[in-house]
Amino acid sequence: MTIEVRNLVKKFGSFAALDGVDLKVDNGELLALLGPSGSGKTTLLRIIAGLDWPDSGEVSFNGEDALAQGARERNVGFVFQHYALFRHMTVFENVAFGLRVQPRAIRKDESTIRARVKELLDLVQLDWLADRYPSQLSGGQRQRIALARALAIEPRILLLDEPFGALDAKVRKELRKWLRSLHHEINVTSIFVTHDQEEALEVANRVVVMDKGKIEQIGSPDDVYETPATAFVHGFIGESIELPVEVEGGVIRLGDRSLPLAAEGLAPGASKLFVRRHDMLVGPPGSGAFEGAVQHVRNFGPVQRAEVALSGGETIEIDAPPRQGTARRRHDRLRAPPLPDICERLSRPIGSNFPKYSPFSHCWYATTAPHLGAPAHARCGRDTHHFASCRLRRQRSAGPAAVHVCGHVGPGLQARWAGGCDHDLAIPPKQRPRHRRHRSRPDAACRIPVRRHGGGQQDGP
Amino acid sequence: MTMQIADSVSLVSPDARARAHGAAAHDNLRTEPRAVRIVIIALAMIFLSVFVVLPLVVVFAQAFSKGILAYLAALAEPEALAAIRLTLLVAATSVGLNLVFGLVAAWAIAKFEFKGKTFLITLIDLPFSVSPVISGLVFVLLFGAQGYFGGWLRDHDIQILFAVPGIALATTFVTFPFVARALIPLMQEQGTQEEEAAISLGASGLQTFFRVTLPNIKWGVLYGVLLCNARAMGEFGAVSVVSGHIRGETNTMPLLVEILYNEYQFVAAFAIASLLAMLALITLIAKTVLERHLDEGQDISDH
Repeated sequence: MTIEVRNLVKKFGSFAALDGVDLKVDNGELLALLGPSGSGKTTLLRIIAGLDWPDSGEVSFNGEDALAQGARERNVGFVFQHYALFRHMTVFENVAFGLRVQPRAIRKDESTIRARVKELLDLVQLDWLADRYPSQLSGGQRQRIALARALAIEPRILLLDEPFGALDAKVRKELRKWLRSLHHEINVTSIFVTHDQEEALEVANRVVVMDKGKIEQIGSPDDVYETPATAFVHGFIGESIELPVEVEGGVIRLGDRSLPLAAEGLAPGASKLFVRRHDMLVGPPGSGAFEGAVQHVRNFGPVQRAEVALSGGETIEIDAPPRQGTARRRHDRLRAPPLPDICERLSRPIGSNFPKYSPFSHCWYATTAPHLGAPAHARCGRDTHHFASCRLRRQRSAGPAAVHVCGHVGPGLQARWAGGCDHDLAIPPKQRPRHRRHRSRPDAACRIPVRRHGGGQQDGP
Repeated sequence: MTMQIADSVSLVSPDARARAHGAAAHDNLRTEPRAVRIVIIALAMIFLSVFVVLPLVVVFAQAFSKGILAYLAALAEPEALAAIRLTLLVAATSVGLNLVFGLVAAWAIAKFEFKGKTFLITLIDLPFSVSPVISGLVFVLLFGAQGYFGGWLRDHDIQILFAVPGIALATTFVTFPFVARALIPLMQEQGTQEEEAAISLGASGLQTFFRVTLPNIKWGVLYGVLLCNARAMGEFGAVSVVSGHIRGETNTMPLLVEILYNEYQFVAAFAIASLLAMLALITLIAKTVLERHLDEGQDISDH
């Protein structure tokens, strides 16, 4: 079942809950609507379900007009945030409800209904709760029953409104995994609403980021994380450093310092620059785009976080994975020089007057002392891949180099460089879980827009 | 009698005493000394006894003052039987009407957003805030010989005032808020999600109402009906204005009690009054049971 939404508008008084939304959902997809509260994501879901009506716009299922039908006829499974189980019915009767209210002509006989309910309770692994009442179940159990109830009518589409919002963190994580595998099993076109970015990025095939009744970006979890389309998405997903910049005569300036970023096509004036914390590195003075002093370095978990006062006065926090052996030394060095430069991969500057342009052609890495085990990023797939380590330098003239991801080595990846030099490279795991998928694909060839710095491999693998 | 009550209050099971001992330090901080407690409880008990229990006892004492035979004879009087019949009829009519109107009003207020909603809520409370006598007079003004519809009704030979329809109308008016008031908060608290779930599962409007909405509010409905019924049977003011006090025809039980009392027929008056008092007691017990069910219903709601 494909769903198509065209130019949907819904107003509550003067407040526009949906302000011209266009969306296409493919068959069998698991789509997340992600946004802060009040962004219109639940309204969109309810309109698709037929529980709300738009002021204007179109909704079609497989090309046929869905707005011509009521919620009853649409055959849509809806799962509510607060479960909405029928409190006076047992779990069994709750699940059986959709089958029992079918018109007499197509209603199945009692034994078929019983068998179907049993099957669904098995599917959600709660068959032993059939005779309980909703009040006797835990939150996670209630939500699974609500899902079984929605699936009983063999819905063409499954819609979930903040399905895990009312659950505690641990149960939420379990159910996320469970929902993914369940979707894999039943393969019904599904849309779920969430305000939890981790949930959206982890569960969904595609993520729709919404704000103020508009869609900000539609893309794979990697896309919305790595190449945010708008300033809102950059700020909303993942942690970002936001810096006020000026565009002036083709140059992007932060304070009185011009940044080595291409500014072609950008209108002059004030704008904002977004950078991911983990895309910045610390290097020796003069090697990077920013200048500043490291104030504190803290180690926690897999990352090392440095608080840096930039020369322009702003204070930012950057993340770098700590490294064994060298980690301590690096740590010390971070403290030692009073004004080390900060090397960074600059994300695309985004602002109201910034047109879109490809972000990764403007990646910048600065050189630091070459050694292995320096931070690197490995990604495979159709989006741009880059490896960056302290011993790799991106030069403006440098072309892409190929790299083979060969397999796992301890906590990292082993990558083999092609062209120029064969070299094993230990790549620390990315912090984000999405990347596990990439790592599980050995021997995938990746193109990278960075090139080894000529010469200097003193360190062996 | 009061001493007894005070005694029984101070009696605590050993079990509870042990618990109280454990939390003694705590208790001392927030409770009054024992003597003060006993005085306060005794005062409340004395007050209730004088103002509530005593009158109730007197009603039954007077009713049975000439023996049980006189009591039964008083109830078997044709006038008394007619009054009981009329009261039951009027109560059944007004409860039936208010059940429908109350459900509709509560449904509209709790489940939909519309203009004039606050106005509607205020209107529902109107019968409570107006004196019953005024409520009765309103119907006289509407349906009386000099009233707005008086001429038309006379032309068509329809008798409303000083007849059963008038009494039923006045009673319905006075008792309207009970069902609606019992249901509105309950339905508002339950929200519309279960109904939405039912509809998305393919249930029709009627199926949703009978399979989901009604089972959820049934204790609330019973509670409203119970209070509505008690008031309908006991209503005096409004009914007195519209009934015309025609013996054996338009006298309800409360009206008959007054008439009999004014005629110094104490046994008969109190016999009827004892029926009303029993109704009150039964209502009280049923109300307690229903309230327990309502509380449970609330526990079942999520979170």
